[in-house]
Amino acid sequence: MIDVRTLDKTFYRGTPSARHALNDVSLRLDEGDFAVVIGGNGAGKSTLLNAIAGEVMPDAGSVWIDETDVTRRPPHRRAGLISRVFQDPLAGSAGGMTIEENLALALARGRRRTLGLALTDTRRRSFRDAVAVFNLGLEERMDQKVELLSGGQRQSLALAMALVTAPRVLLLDEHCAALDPRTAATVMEATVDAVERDGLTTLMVTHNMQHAIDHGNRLVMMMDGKIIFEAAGAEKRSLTVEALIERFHLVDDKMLLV
Amino acid sequence: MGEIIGSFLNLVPITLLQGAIYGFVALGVMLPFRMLSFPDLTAEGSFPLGGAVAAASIAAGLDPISATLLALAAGCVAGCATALIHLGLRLNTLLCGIIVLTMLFSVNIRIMGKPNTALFAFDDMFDVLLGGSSSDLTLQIALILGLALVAAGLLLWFLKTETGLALRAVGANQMMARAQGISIWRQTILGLGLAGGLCATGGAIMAQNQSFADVNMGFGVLLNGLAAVIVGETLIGRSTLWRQLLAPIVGAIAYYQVISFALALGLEPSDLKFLTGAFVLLMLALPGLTGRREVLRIRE
Ligand SMILES: Nc1ncnc2c1ncn2[C@@H]1O[C@H](COP(=O)(O)OP(=O)(O)OP(=O)(O)O)[C@@H](O)[C@H]1O
Ligand SMILES: [Mg+2]
Repeated sequence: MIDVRTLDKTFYRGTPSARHALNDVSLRLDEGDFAVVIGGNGAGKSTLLNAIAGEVMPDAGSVWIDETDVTRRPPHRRAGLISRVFQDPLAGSAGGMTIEENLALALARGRRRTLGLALTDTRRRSFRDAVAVFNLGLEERMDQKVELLSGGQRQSLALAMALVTAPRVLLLDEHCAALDPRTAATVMEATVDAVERDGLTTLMVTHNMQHAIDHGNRLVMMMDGKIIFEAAGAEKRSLTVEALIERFHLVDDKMLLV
Repeated sequence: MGEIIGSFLNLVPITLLQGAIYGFVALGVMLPFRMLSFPDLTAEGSFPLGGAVAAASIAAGLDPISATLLALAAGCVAGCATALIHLGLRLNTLLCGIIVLTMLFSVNIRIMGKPNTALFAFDDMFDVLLGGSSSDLTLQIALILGLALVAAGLLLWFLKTETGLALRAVGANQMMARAQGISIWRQTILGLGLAGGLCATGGAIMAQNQSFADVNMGFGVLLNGLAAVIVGETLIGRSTLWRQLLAPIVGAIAYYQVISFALALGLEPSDLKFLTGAFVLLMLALPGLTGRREVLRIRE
């Protein structure tokens, strides 16, 4: 499904500020796998997701999706396979465009955009349904500009945009981290619902240990650009926050996770 | 005072016509700035390019409508050139515009074979479209204003298509646009091409209206266009897409009335560039001084 093979990336290579962000990282997810990625600041989690999405070009190694090597494809040419939600709620949608226009943008992801009107009545109705699940009243504000929305509303929209086409891969980079606890819970619940309902192959970065324990069937821990621990299936289910903290001394070094 | 008002009122019809013609330019200036967040100076070169192409081809015997369309196409090419330089060499957008507009100066003289071309001896688009009443100022105003509104209407429709949405997304947030599968290259080229076409159309109409094209006719046209956009947005806002598209036309008309009033007050035409610059500076500074959002966003 997704196959990340021996990825290597050094930023500012050959300068004193060189950063080995990915060090020989390999990871294989099967169809329907939901992997949670944890690790301290600068561990390389975002770089890994960026390399899968094409925003970061690796120095070595390759990225395969559905048995196809996409390593050299620019981001917009693999967007048909990949949906992303970023940590920053402002990053996932166009502020000057309306809620329904943003969803229409996402609907055409991965196919040729036409000269037909982006918003038809049928589409409008399905977009309303797509945002109604969040219970945030977004469905009543479909023709309002997104810049008027709160962070939580905007992040919910970003998630709805990511799900509006059934993506082959869903990449979530701390997408609940900038939200207040209640909204974070709503968005996380909607995420898990969608991932389970559609059996989406998902890679989710989080700093929230409880989320990492509660969700997903795989756990990936990164440190200094390497994957240092992986758990799946029964082993993943038996993990507890306490056990992880104890095992990796998470509190006393830079792996501090909350 | 009565004298000033009198000479201002005398100028109103001709100024209305000028404003409507510059409406095309203002639309072409608005599009890159507002929709692509791409500060583009190419207008300064594509406007006289449109005039040169239209004048040279009319003088060579082409019918005025085809000549105007040819000018439009030439403007598109100029816009695309700026886009390609920016995308390919990753140069600052303003520098790309300066390079292209400077090079166009030579191109325009090549096209005409000399620095200017007179069209008094030829039929122009007004003769073709208005027939015997081609010198009726009211009809001329109605024709050009009508065409400018049609251009704005077409642009409104385009910006609501799937492709148009993609173009606006590039101006809003490039990383997000890429994540939605949008090619930054394609949309930037498309947007600047359209903008160049609009500016060149303005130049082609202007040349035919004054029966004269000159390489220097573009001087200051970008700032005038920008001023028109700002005036229009102040008058009717830009809260919705149709307001954003109507604003340049309304603004161009209002702006040229103000210019005409300044002339009626006894200012020299040569003073106007300074005044326009001062006006744009003031409008750009005001939001900062009053703590509102910035008027122009600049691409990285
Ligand atoms: N675009 C970039 N340019 C230069 N250095 C980068 C870039 N992106 C990441 N880095 C560096 O690579 C390393 C890994 O960063 P990355 O963002 O992947 O960490 P992370 O695990 O996502 O951390 P966090 O939990 O803080 O988000 C860091 O040292 C970072 O400074
Ligand atoms: Mg990160």
